[in-house]
Parts: sequence; structure tokens; C-alpha cells
Amino acid sequence: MMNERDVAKSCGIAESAVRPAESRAEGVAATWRILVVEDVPSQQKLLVKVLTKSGHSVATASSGQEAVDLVEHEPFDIVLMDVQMPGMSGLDAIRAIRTRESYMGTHLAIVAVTAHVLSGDADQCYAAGADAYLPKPINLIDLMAILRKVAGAFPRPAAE
Amino acid sequence: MTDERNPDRTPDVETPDAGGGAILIVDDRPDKLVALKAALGSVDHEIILAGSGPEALRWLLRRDFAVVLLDVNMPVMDGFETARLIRQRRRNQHTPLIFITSYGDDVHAIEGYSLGAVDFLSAPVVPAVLRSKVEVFLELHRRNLQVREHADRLMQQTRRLQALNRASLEIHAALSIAQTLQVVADSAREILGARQACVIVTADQHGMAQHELVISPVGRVSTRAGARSGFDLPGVVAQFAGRPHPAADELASANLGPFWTGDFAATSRGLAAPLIGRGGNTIGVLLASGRREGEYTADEEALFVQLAQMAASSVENTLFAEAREANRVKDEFLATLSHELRTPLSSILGWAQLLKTKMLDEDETREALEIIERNGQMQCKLIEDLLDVSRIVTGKMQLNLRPISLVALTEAAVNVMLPSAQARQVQIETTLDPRVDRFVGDPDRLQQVLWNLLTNAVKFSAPGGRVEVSLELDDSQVVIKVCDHGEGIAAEFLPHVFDRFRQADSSASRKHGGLGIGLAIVRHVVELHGGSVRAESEGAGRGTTIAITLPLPADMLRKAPEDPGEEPIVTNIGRPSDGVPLIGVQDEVVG
Repeated sequence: MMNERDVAKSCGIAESAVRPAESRAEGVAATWRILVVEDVPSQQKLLVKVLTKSGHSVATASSGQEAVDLVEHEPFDIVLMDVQMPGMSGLDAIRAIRTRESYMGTHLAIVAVTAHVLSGDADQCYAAGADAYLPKPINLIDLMAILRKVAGAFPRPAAE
Repeated sequence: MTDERNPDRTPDVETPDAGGGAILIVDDRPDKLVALKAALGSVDHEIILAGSGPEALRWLLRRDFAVVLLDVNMPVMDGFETARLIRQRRRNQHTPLIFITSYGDDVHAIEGYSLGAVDFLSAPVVPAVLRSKVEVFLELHRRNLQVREHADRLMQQTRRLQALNRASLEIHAALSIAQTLQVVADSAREILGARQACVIVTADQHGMAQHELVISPVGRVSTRAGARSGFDLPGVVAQFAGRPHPAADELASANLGPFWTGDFAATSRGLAAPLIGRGGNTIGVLLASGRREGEYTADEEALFVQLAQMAASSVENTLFAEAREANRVKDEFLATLSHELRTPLSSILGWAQLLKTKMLDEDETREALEIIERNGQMQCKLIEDLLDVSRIVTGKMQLNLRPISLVALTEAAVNVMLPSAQARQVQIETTLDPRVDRFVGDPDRLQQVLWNLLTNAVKFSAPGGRVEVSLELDDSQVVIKVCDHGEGIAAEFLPHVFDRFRQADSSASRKHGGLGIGLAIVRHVVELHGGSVRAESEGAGRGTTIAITLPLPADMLRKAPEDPGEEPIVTNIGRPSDGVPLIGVQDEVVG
């Protein structure tokens, strides 16, 4: 059986894209608790599959409101937030989360994942409080790179 | 009968002698009448003789007099009685009355003054005295007339300014160019008292071309059939824009179609004023037919020109606003399009990338391929719709007409929709009248129309909802209705549902995807078949009915059914039943 590295190489995907993430400092695989917020089932399933195959633990939400409720009760390292969703949009959900955080003094790493890619769309995401912006169609290599970046920049505080 | 209460009436209408003022002499004795007339001989005024009080009253009904000489002593109705009756008529309340009396006694004089006499003359009358007294009243009458004329002119001018003011307010309130032009044409006609007025706009600005013809009192005239039916709007604009006073017959024969008749019988020249845009370019012309009495005054012409200017600036503003709105809708559409194309693409590329890593097991691989295929089909449908819109815009959509069965077509469309309807637990009920089965149309396009309508109906229905599809005969027309009890359409959006690129909700939190072109395609295809389509909804949350009407050629109409076997067939399909596997299309909405 080919190892992942070979497969990834032969397919032109950076090995790190699908390899369990490693903490550079300690050289051991880091696993994150990631919340995938996405209303389109095939997209949600894709992200869950990619992230679990990479060794992370994943929870899902299909609307902004569901996401806001979940992050209130569960600790996450990263939230992948779709923007266009029925009911509460991703941007509104990010704003709601950031508003609450401003009282708590915490900061959750949030990546806006969206098919809104015209000029101004990224700015809107940042203005709402996203830490990173990932345009659709999602490139899995970019996804992993961004996850590492935001997880490094905003590490989850150790459980007290 | 005259009507004193009507302030619009000008005195000229009733009193052809208004300028001079006539003298009425009333006496029962012909010799005295002749003598009095002779005494006034040198006075240059018309003199009317009346032999009795009643005759005098009849004259006064017919016309105005500058002064009335009234004999006191007459049989049947004496001078005082006549005066009383004269005074009862409001119009004659101030007509100067001079009594001629042979008694010269005070009692009579007091009675006479109490009846409003202005003077007394004793018979026999001294001609010089009579003349000088009469002349005073003639002069007074002339002055009165002048004042009245002046007041009338002022009143007329005030009325015109009021009309202009009203027009300006209405123009500001007008929501469309056609509405603006209607106000302008109506106001021009009203202010001038012309038989017909019209506004022509041939503007091509900000990428918005607008050719409009509005005739007062006809209304907006569709010039789409243009060349064939004798409309030449640009030609007419060029013909009259530089000529403020066109001849009546030239105006009447302008190429403005059958509704513009101008006024061949007009005796005065008409008026024409160009609509000048901000850049100094001519964007149209305002025309008014000539009048049947008198030329237009400079005042009237000035108001007319002002109306044309108001029309020009309003048209430009509206065009600018429309261009901006069209741009906004287009931008919004492009953003939606980009989003709608990327969403399935993201699934396709992501799953393909994942497949390449070979980390998926057999079941996962099959699922990945299914997802890729389904999203590919979604994109394909989007692109097809886009191409259709492009065909609509360029007028290149063509029908492939064939004899078809509407019943079979409708049933087929419903069957295609069943899986997604069942997935959303929406029931589809059909009522198909077999009498309207045979039809000539493009089966693929009509199928597309039904799919689009059914897709919307299912998409906007709540789970457990019901969609009704019916095929009916109405006169010699086929009526296809798709009715749901779902989200409905807000009244303010209802007029726009068939506009391409328009969506009721294009926000980031909208519930439904789609490009907003499905119904635009429906309308175009139906119109290509010579039919029409309309949307009805009692408002948000109260369901929607889309009704398509298609003209049925006479020979397509089957004989009225005599056997009861031809009753409309009612079937219930699509009711989710236990154990029916729901096909997994709840993923992405088909539209």
C-alpha cells in the first residue's frame, strides 16, 4: 500500500494537505477540534471527510444560529464558517460570536469560507470579524495552510 | 339658459356687443320709442326698442345692455314692476336703469330709487340731457367691461399657472416616463384648450434607449410595430423640434400612427417645443394642435415651452435612475451568478481532489462520484438557463413546433418533479381537462416552462405542503395553472417576478438559491407561443399561483364532450407514503 505522502505527491497535492497536522515545536501530530458550518450537504460532507481524514475532530452546524449556539457550549480550535446560509448568515454568526467574546475576553479562530469572491466580499468577512478568508471552490492545500495559520495565531487557551 | 355660477364663462360668449354696449329703450307707445331713439341719434351705439316690460325682460335674458331707459307708465307691467323683475336676475343687478316719468312726483322717485334706478328723466325729455346722461353710463359700461376683461385675463393666467404647478407636482410624483409624459401632454392640452397634444421621446442615454409616444387624450401608444404602422418618432422629432409654430395641417399629418389626428379644423397654428437634455441634445418634442378660435398668446406659448422643459428634465432623471437600477440589478446578478456557479464547483473540485488521494473507501468513492455528477448536472442546468437568457436578450430563441399532447406533457413534467417533491414531502395534485389535450407547440420548451414552475412551487412550499397543477379550457384558450400554498410573493415584488435577474431576496441569508431567471424564461417561452403568463399571490406567506394562458387554434378544439367519461381527471400523485425511499435530492435545490 502506498503511503499518503506518495499518493499526495503523485496527485499533485501537497502532502500536508491530507496528513495529520503536526505541531512544529514539538514535532507531534496536533489534532484540532473544528466546527464546520455549512448548509450545502455535499460541501459539509467534503469538509468533514477531509478534516477527519487529517486526524482532526469535527462537529457540524447547518446554520449561523446553530453555530452560535454550539460555540457557546463547546470549546473549538477553529470554526469554518460558510457565509451564505438561510436564516442567520455566516457574517451575522461571526458578529454574534465576536460580540460575546468581547465580554469574555476570548478569541476563537474563525475562517470565512465562501463562494462570494467578488471585490469587497473578503473585506466584508474581515469586517465581520473573520480571521481568514477562504474562497470557494476550496483548494484543500489552501484550506490546510489557513487552518495551520489561524490555529497558530489564535491557540485555544488550555482548559482550566 | 345662462348659468351665473359658472366662473369659467366669459362674458363674450353671451354679449356680442360687449365692446360697445347697447341701449335698451322700453315704452308702450311706439311714437315715444321713436322719439327717444331720435333723441339719442348721434350716440354711436346699438339701440334696441322694446314695446313692453315682458319684451324688455326677454331682451335682457338674451344680452347685456349698457343702460336701460324705462318708461314708468306702461299697461300690464309698469316700469317699476319691470325694474323689480330685472333686479331679481343677478346678472342685471347692476344694469343702470333710467326711469322716464311724466309725473315728476317724489313718491314715484322714491319708489324708483328703492328699485335701484340710477336716474330719473321727466318727459318730455330734453335730447341733450338724455344724451349726456346716457353717455355717462355708456362710458361707465365700457370701463366696467375693461376691468372685467382684465380680471378675466388675470384669472385665466392664474388658472394656467395653477395647472402648470399641478403638472409639476404630478411630474415629480410620476413613477415612470410614460406617466410623466401623460401628465405633460394632458397639462399642455388643458392649459391651451387644444384638441390634441402629444409628447414624443426618443432618448438614448446612459445605455437606456427609450422611445415613447403619449397622446392626450388617448394615452400611451405602443409604437413597437413601428415602421409598418406609420410611426416615425425620430422623424417627427426632427421635423418639429426647430419649428415652434407649425401649421395645423402639417401637424395633423405627422407620422404618429392612427391615434394622432391633430386638428385639421384648427384655424390657428399649432405649437411645438423640443425636449432638450442637459447636454443640449434633443430628446423629444411636445406638440399641440392649433386652436379653433384665436392664435395662441405669448403667455400660453411660454407655459408650453416650460412644460416641455419640465418633461425633458424629468425624462432624463428617470432614465438615469433606470440605468442605475438596471446596473444594480446586473451587478447583483453577476454576484449571484458567481456564487451559484462556484458552489457546485467547490463540491466537484473538492471531492475530486479527495478522490485523488485514494483515501476514500469503496462506499465513500461511490458517494464522491455521485456528488460530483449531481453538482456537474446542476452547473449544466445553470449554464443552460444562462444560454436561454442570452437567447432571450438577443431574440434568438426559436420554437420547434410540433403537435403535442398537453396532458402527457404535464404528466411527464410532474413525474420528473416527483422525487424532489417527495424529498420535501410536498404533494403534487393534478387536474387535467382532456379537452385541451391537443396543441401545437415546442414540447421541450413547454416542458421547461412546467419544470421551472413546478421547481419553484416545490421550492417555496413548506414540508407537507401541496402543489396543484391544472390544465383547463377557458373559451378558446388553454389555461395551465401551478398553484402552491407556500411562501407567496410580497405585493411590491409581484410586478417584478417575471423580470430577468430579479430575486425577491438576494441577501446572504436568503433561503433559496437560483439565478432569478426561471420565470423570465417561462414568460418568454409562453409569449413566443402567443400566450401570456401572470402571477397571483395574496402576499408573503399566502401561496402563489402562476397561470399560463395559451391560445388554442380553433381546429384544435375537440367537440364538447357528451359522454361523462370525459370529465376532468383528478389524480393524486406524489403523496409521500410509508416505505417509499426518498431520493437524495434534498441536497441542492434543482433550480
